[in-house]
Amino acid sequence: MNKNLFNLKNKNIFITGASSGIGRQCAITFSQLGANIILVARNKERLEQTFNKLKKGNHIFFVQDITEYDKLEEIVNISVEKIGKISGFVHSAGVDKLLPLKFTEPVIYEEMFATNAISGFEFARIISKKKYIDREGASFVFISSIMGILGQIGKIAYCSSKGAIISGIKAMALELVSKKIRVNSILPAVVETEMSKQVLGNLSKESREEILNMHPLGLGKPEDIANTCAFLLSDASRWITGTNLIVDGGYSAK
Amino acid sequence: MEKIKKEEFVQDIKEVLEVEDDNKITLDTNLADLEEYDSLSVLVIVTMIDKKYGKQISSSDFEKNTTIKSLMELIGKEYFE
Repeated sequence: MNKNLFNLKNKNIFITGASSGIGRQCAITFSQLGANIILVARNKERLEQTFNKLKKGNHIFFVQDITEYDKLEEIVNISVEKIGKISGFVHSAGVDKLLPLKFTEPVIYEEMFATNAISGFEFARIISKKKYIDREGASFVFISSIMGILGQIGKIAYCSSKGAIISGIKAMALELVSKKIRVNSILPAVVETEMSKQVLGNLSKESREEILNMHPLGLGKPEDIANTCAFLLSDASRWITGTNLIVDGGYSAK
Repeated sequence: MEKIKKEEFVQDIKEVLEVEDDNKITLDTNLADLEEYDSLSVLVIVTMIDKKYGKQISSSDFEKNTTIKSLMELIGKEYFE
């Protein structure tokens, strides 16, 4: 077996939501596997903290609100100029809000879809251009959620925005085959991140315990998702595209 | 409606197909012979023409003759300079 199959050496990987949670861990893990990382997120301080945790490499970061769509191509352009063509893209940026339907007005969907789905699709549109993408092939990974296929009270906007990724990547995978780009998504259940802690903190003790009990292997760690992501970016997954990979500690097995 | 400039139209086609070489395409080039042409190209070209010029052409008509000249005929020669 080729020992290098799982490494990411010399791959330039673009990550949104890189300042915290799954995105941060992805950046750290990929740098340990030999990749150069392009990090994008809104919060400069946390972004710098992540940047400083990376294993040495040709990394670069951008402080940017990714829903400002007209600013995104410039970031990609600068990245390619500075570190070279892109062979991996991970859309990990995401927002979550616990809101009953009664309060879920159109603006809530618009904001949530913008960050969770549309900005990722827009980056994919830009990065897949011939002038930016590695001609040898590339891999795009979208972080969806098990909530994209299962429901939860107070999560109508979140669930539907994550569901948009699940169907979107299938169509995108078919279109991008001709450019040797594979497109997949990962569906995690609850992973211990600052964002999930905040959401769990808003629940009653009873509901929190119920959620814990729904994960036979316990809550996930950001590493669990970053490792899966690294696999999907590596050459070891060369025959996988258009797949929604469930990584949920057994949540959906019940 | 303002007439479409042929050079601009050729440039638009090159752009949507992501053709890099500046001298590669003429009105008679068979686009299907280009390295950049693939199964998506017809849809990409037809969509560009609809979006930019507001003209709807049929993919199957275009597929019969995949040159820029033939595209111009499908759109209507009277619309070009």
